[in-house]
Amino acid sequence: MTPPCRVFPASQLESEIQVNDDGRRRKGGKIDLSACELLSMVQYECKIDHPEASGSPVRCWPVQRWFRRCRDNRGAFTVETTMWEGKTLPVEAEKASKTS
Amino acid sequence: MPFLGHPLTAVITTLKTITLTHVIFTYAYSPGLGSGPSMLPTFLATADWFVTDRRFRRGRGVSVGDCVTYAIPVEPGQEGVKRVLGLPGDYVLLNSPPDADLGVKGRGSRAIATAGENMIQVPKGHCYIVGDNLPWSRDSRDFGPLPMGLIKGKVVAKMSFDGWWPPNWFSKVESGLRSPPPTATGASHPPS
Repeated sequence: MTPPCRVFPASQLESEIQVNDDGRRRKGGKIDLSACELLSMVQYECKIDHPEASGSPVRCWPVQRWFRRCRDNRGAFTVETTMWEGKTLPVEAEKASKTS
Repeated sequence: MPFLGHPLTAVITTLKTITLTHVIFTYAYSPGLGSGPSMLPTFLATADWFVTDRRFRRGRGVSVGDCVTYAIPVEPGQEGVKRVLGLPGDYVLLNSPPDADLGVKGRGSRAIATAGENMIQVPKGHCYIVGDNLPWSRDSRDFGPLPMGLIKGKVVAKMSFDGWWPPNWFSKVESGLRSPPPTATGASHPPS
């Protein structure tokens, strides 16, 4: 049986990740999300045009999700930053286009 | 039947074959047949054969982004295939990203938009699994974090029986989590 989980809004992500799954403050300093390794995952919204027909065309639209792999003294953990990246990614995109 | 030797030999050989197959399918690799729209476009909706690596059973060595087979907690006796989005201690969105939900359901409801921004930390001994086809998948967004013990293995390859050369039947199933290529952010610009 899954234990009850505390739900928090994505806007509090930066403060929530400072605490590990024991409820204690992480050792190894404050976690800075923007310094963690950025990872990408693409999921989809697919539509089967004629679900009753076996050879029906399937159309899919990508849904971009972002993750960051951060480290504390205990090891690595993954943080989904799909909602958080909106604030930082345009800046990085600008940087990338300038350097290329 | 002289070519089979003593009848008991045939029985023993048969039993050995059955038990060896059982051991391989339970602890090494097993074939599986999946159907349903939840993992489109990674797996077809009609029917797709895949190979499961059973050494990853109970979630051992599984990483974020892997496809796993698991015992569906709300459907006793049935197994499903989904992608792992979070392992114990990781942080995930409780629902789909809000844009995705709104796009398909089209309700434009503010309630959905705010619910889409809720997050949890995956509890100890659990993982968070979501199907690749977000609107058509029943997964952790419905039944919550999945106990690692219900993971039966990691999907390592897809099988399609085209041609006569068996090695060509397999195509590797990659992890969904990857480093964005350095040009990803500027990908919309045509190369000069």
